[in-house]
Amino acid sequence: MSLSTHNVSVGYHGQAIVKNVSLTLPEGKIIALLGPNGCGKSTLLKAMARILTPMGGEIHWQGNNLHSTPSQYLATQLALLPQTQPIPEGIKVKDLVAYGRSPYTGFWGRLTKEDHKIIQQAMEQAGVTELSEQFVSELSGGQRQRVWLAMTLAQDTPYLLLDEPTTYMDLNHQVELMNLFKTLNEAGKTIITVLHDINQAARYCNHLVVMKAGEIITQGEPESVLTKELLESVFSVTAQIHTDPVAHTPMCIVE
Amino acid sequence: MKTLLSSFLLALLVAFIVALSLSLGAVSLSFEQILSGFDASSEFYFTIHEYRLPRSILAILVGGMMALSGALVQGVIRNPLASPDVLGVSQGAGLAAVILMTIFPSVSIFWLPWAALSGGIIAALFLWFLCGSHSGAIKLAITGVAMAALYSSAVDFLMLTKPLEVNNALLWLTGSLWGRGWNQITMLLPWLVLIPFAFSLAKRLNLIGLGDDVATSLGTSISMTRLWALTIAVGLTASCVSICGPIGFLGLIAPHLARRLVGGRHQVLLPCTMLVGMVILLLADLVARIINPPIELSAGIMTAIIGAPYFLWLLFKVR
Amino acid sequence: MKNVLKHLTILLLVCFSAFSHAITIKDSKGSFTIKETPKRIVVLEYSFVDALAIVGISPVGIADDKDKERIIKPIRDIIDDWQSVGTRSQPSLETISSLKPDLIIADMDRHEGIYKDLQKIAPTLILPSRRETYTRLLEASAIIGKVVNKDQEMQTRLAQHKNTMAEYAQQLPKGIEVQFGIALENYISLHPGKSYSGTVIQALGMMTPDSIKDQKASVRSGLEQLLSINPKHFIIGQYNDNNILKVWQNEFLWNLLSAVKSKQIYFMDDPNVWSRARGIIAAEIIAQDLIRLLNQPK
Repeated sequence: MSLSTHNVSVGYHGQAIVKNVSLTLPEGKIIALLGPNGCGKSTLLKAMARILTPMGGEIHWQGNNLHSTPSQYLATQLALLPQTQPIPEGIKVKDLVAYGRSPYTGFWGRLTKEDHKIIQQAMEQAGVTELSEQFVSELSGGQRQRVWLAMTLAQDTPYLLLDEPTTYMDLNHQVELMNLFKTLNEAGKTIITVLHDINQAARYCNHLVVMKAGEIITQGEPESVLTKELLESVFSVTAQIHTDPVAHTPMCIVE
Repeated sequence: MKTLLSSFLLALLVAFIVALSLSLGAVSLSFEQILSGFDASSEFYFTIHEYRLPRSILAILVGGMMALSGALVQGVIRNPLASPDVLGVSQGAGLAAVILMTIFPSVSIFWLPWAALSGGIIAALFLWFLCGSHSGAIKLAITGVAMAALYSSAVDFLMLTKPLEVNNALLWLTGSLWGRGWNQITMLLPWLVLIPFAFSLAKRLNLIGLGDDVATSLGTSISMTRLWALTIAVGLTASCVSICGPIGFLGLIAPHLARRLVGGRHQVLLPCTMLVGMVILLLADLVARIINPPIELSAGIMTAIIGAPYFLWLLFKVR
Repeated sequence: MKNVLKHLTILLLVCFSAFSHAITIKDSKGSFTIKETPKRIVVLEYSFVDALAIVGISPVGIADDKDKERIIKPIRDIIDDWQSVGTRSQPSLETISSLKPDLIIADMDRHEGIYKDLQKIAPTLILPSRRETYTRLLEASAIIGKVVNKDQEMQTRLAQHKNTMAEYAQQLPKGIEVQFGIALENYISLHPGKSYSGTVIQALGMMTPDSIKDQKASVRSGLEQLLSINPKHFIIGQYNDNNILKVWQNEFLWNLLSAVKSKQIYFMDDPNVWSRARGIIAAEIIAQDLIRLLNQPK
């Protein structure tokens, strides 16, 4: 398996938020990291994207320590879409998406025909083609989120790591995004995303990892993970589990 | 295409202002007289070859270098209000110059640039020592501004307690091209090697603009890029300040105007920022020379007159 | 034979000097040589204008801050009109060059940094002026006399000046403590012991307050500082009415000043000569002012 953590503790300012987590992420799946606020799901994601260095334990990529693997190479393997992004001044959408190609371009960042093709495709997938000549600073929050997604897609990596990608999006764009994950997944990409919405995760993802207080509580297929007891113990809610009438996936309804 | 046109027009503007600078001044010269000024036997030789020409060249060098330094700092600090001033380099250079003047009042003022240069570099090293290479951009900027304020007040203190000795330093602190010539140009030339290094950071600066997380995920080392960019910026600023004194707001305004003209891609932004910086400093010096001849004002005062309102406008816009 | 050679050499030297006025003197940067008597002189400090005026030479350019009034009237009356070459701190080099001077007289304090540039325009004599003492400026005047080939006139004038000053000294009380200051908007600028006016006061047989006797640059003083210096006789120059005295005269501390208590405080309009002009004419005017002020009925 490509990405795995081994007794990883990670956090900020010497304070561990993720504690001693060992986890193997199944390749070729859409994986959701779930859990209440502050459980460490985003922190774990950042550690896997090598933004944060573990205080203890190791994260492995293809069996080697992730944090001693050349960063330039990893940039062609793992792409990250963070929860919030700065707004770069004077940058057009097409420029920003093109930056996703940097791991492949030379020192001056010149783009090849192939690069242009991938950029075009990424913009189409994220539905931002018509925005391409606009400045990023002029876009709405949801539009911007999709532009950044296009940039991440242009990075063209087998693994995609996303931190609450649906936050600023309208419902229709959320649905589009989750469907896009399916398409990408079918094309062979592994998607690891932090999600807030348990029902969204259960419907669109095929592997759920549930965390609480920095530890992994359970993981597996939505059908086996999503139980009345789990919702009670992790999210402190009393809920019923029903089957989604459309997708036939489990869904919870809070009592 | 648009960026290419903008750059071409800017370069044309630089050439035009240089021509104006050669022609205008306390005495106005015709085209023929300017040409004759390159001949050592001409009566205009001093005015053209020894005065206006070196001054224009110096304005081009200093304008370009200070502006480039500003673009690098804004690139890594990711704040539109950032400029080389937030590193405390100019103020450190000023303090060193004033200290030299007070402790060794008998020392020739030809040592002033060297003292200023070391002061600027020491200030940068001190900032680096205080912050470390892994600290965030904001911490760096705040520490830098605090240090800059400290150096400025030390300068004020020395000026009040030792008014006699600091007078030459005071004149130099207003940022002027007056009285500088070929010698100073020679002193600046070695620092031009920093420019290709700065350009080589263009791609990485683009990625830094996307935030630390994304830049890392795209394979860029944040701390290395920041260290390089700031080191180059410090070298550019310190060398310019040591020659001309701090020319306020140049490093702030030039990258801003350039960004509005050609956008934020550093491959285009960096060279265009330099052109804009050249235009600003050439104009400032020209106006300082011809506004009320034979009175010479400081180019630094001119840039401050344009720069201060611009800075306030930015402040309101950014909030 | 030896004697013949010696006589021949002397003869040659005499002939040589008759044809050329080549003069070598020491200025602040070392040896200065000028081959011919200069005709077009540009001066960059006021004291040098004074030195030229007393031997009847008019400079073609003066760094007068573009304000002819900066040159005091007694000097303005002597010399012909001149062209401004800008400020003393940053004179316009291209204006100086356009005047095609054959001698530039510059100030060591202000112009050392552009000395090399000035030399490219014309032979440059660099001498002390700013923040220098009365004695040093007399020496500088003597050097200027030599360089402009008016040594005789200069020596005569200097001797005459010495006598004049001695006469003035007779008319002044001996050994009293006198302080000069200029009332500005927020403070009084005191001219201390090593300033030009301070040294003129001393040359006239009087004293300046001890506490600031070794300072050259003017001392910014508030009321409390002034009280601690507490000069016995206090001369205050005022450019206009808009100065700090209006405020201070209503303060309690003001009346504690011994000069105020003993009514040895003197007010003077137009202190331009005292504050800016330096040189022989300026020194004589300062002496006349002192006689007028210190001997006025109380």
